[in-house]
Amino acid sequence: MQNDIVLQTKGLKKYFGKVHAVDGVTISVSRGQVYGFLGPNGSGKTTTIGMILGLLHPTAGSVTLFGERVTPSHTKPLRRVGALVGHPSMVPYLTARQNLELLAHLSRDLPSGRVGEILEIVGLREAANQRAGQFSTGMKQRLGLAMSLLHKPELLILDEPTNGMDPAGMHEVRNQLSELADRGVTVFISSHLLHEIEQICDRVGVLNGGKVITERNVKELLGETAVVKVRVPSSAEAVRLLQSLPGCRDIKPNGAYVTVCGVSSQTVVSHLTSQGVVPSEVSTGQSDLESIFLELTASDSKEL
Amino acid sequence: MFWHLLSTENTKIFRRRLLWVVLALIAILVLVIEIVLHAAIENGLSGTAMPAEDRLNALQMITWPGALVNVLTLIGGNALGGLFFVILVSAVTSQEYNWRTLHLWLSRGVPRPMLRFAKFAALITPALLIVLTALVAGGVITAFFSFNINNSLYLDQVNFSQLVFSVLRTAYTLLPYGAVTYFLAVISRSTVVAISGGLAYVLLLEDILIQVLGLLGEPLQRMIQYMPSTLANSLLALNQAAIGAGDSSTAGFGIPLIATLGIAAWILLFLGLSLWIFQRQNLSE
Repeated sequence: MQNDIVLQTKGLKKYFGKVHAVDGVTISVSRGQVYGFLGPNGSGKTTTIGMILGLLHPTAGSVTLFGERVTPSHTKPLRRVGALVGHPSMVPYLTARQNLELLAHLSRDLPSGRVGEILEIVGLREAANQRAGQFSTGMKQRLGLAMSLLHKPELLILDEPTNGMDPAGMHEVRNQLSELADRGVTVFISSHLLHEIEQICDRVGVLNGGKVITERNVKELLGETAVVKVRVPSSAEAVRLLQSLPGCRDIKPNGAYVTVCGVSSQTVVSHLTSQGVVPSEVSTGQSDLESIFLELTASDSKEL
Repeated sequence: MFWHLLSTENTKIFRRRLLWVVLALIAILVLVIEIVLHAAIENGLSGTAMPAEDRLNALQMITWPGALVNVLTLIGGNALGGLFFVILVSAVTSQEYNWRTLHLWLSRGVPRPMLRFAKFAALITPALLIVLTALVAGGVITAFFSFNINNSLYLDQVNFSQLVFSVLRTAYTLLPYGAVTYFLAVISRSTVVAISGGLAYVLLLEDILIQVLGLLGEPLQRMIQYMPSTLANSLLALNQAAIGAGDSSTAGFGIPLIATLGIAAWILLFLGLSLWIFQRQNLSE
């Protein structure tokens, strides 16, 4: 299974003087996975991506791409990677087409019509002959995406790819990423738009204060945080009984109701019934990624 | 990959408006300088009883073939050419940091030393263009003066193969100044620092250094002959001898080895330092 790991970081650290921007990040991304890299501003996402792309020298730790170590002095595995980091880089006095043609020079075996094709895909065909420096933020983002996709990479690393895009543009990007994932391209995406991440990602890593606070499959994370709400004759009694149920957490009485996390509704009902407390109402509420993210980063910040 | 990179870098430079603005300014400045020189010489010749030898020397400066040598001296590394080359190199090199376009190549697996080397190698063509532009502009206006004064261009006195070597030699004298500026641009990542540092070196620092070395006596005084401007002058002097003489037998030969190697050493020193620093740089947002 080791060969299926496309991207791996081990104990990755980056210190800028006394600032520990990244502090021991260990993550792994498997082939074909869409991996969401989440974290509040300043949590170290872009710095981590900079080290993955060989743009920054790590203070400690390692980055491995396709089983080969990557450092700023050894970046050969990056030829199989497409990347869009922060604000897209482009030559401002060249047109969108010229920018792509320059990059196309670097990739052997690229079909002659690939530049036109990619301009069509990202919706820049009409603006192909406009100077990139005159583009709006959203158009620059599209061009950046086109540049990252041009050489049909096996791994796509995207840092806030929908930054500055209108809702239609975001929707298009989301669809494109889903299509790429369906074709087996591995996607590593950092975004603030948690709704997007929830829709397209298989797995997420959450970063806070330069550290990974959790790395889980999205379904697993959402399932574990489902909230079970029961109406009981005595909420105090129910709370006491649920405290002895393994896996049960966040038990909160609220009038005639009690809410719990970490266990299924069936487990809660059967446990209470077996102890003589019969719930009259049962409902299950799914947490979304945003609330989980806020909860995780808030509780981690308190611990810090 | 290197040749693809070199071609890419050349394309980027050629599509920059700055290159064409610099070349246009050089052409205009050379024309203005030649016209002013012509006016000054005409005035001098008509106003005083000048000895025949002085008169001949003065006329040679604005008529073919001597005027061609004069233009090449004007556009050498330690003169006008050096100044414009410094401006071009600093803008081309340091703006890549501001635009973060270095990320484009590095994040695609291009090795850092190869990228830096290709970027410097791509500056050789603009160096040649700077010299050619000055030669063409100066050549055209002095051809007009030559017809006006001598009714002839004396083409038989122009050694065209030697002229080609002279263009190459003159462009070569621009490169150490380009390498110093390149180094300043890489280390500072700032266009302002690179331009001001490069211009200060061409206009002031090198002269001051030479003056100081001159005061220190032997053996430090001997270092003056290895300074870029002294080495450049030594190469540019060869242009004078060859074109003026019109002797095809010397075409391509007689390059002072020490001057050529000395200039190469300056280029390699600053290019090597640039590569070393770039290899260690963090290229974040």
